[in-house]
Amino acid sequence: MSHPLLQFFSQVPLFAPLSADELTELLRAIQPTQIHAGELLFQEGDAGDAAYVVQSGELEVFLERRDSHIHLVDLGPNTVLGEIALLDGQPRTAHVRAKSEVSLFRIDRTEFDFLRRNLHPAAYKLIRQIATTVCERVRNSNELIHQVVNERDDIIRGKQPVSAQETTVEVSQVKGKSMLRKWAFWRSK
Amino acid sequence: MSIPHQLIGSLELFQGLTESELTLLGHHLKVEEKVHGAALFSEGDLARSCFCLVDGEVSVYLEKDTGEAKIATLKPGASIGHMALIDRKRRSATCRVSSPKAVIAELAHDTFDQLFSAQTSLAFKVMDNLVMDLVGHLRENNARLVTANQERNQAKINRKLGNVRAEMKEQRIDTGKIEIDALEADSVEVCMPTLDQRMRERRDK
Repeated sequence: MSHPLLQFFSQVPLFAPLSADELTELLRAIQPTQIHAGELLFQEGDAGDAAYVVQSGELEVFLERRDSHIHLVDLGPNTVLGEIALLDGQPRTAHVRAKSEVSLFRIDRTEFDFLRRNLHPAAYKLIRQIATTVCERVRNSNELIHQVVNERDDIIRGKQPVSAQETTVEVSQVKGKSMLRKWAFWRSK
Repeated sequence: MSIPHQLIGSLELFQGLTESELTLLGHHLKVEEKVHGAALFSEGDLARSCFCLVDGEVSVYLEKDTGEAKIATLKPGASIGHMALIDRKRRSATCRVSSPKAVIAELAHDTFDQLFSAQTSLAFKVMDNLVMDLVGHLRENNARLVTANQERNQAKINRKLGNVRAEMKEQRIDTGKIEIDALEADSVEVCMPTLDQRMRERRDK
């Protein structure tokens, strides 16, 4: 554990099961990189050519839809992003921007694939860790789909949804024209 | 019972294995013929192994308020309950044989764990097939979630619109020009980060 990178990676949960030797093998795929506050790490639709581990600083994951900015989540030190793209190389599903000076480690998919194709234990220990998070996500999304479908059916059947946040509506009349003034979650066109 | 290697190699989870890997796997698989109605596992059971459907048909059932509902039917080659090889949680559904007979191959979590710890190419290849299947499942779920959200939002809008129209009619306001569009933030276009946050919150508790 002499190499400073090894010390850092051993603290990141995704890399915890890897031995020092295995981490050393993995280092061939890892490059340190930095971005400045306000810079984009990647955009929605970009090629999923790498995963990243945040060493310091903070990033925002967000979407842009029409004219609205949709905040999804903030990521800080020791978090991993884009690890599923490391497995399947699919395009990015959101934008990621630095909120401060950010230091990251970039895990290159091509280099990682080399280890994977050669059935290297380091690659497979990491894959197994990623698989655990994917399992949790699959279970969570199953649950969420179930919940949303039930809500939808309750609404259609005329029942009040149990967990849906209720929207508020105020109707007012301005110069004889109808107008919806306040409509949380919905907007008028 | 034993089945030819070729047949094992045709199962989804065991694609791409060499002859020697299939031989090794053959020693660790438990292959059984089950009759119609036989349960592979029931909802709530602790997941200890993964099943592969070699021949016949298996159906997946969920317990609902209205009783048991069939949610899927699986064809030969399919993996059943394969998340059990990654972690050991409770089964989220019940699976039973739905053809007169079915041939099922079972791989125990502990056996897979040993093969993985021993760094066998067999375990690594199975892990690869497994994780790619799960990733595909996750991406499908995300797409389904977007659709379900849009449908729910549309239902909400329709209901609200109905209420507003009724209210306006009462107040004798012209309702001709209202069109409402769901704010896309609520359609959870990308639900993964949201899910991750939920997971973190749960873990932190």
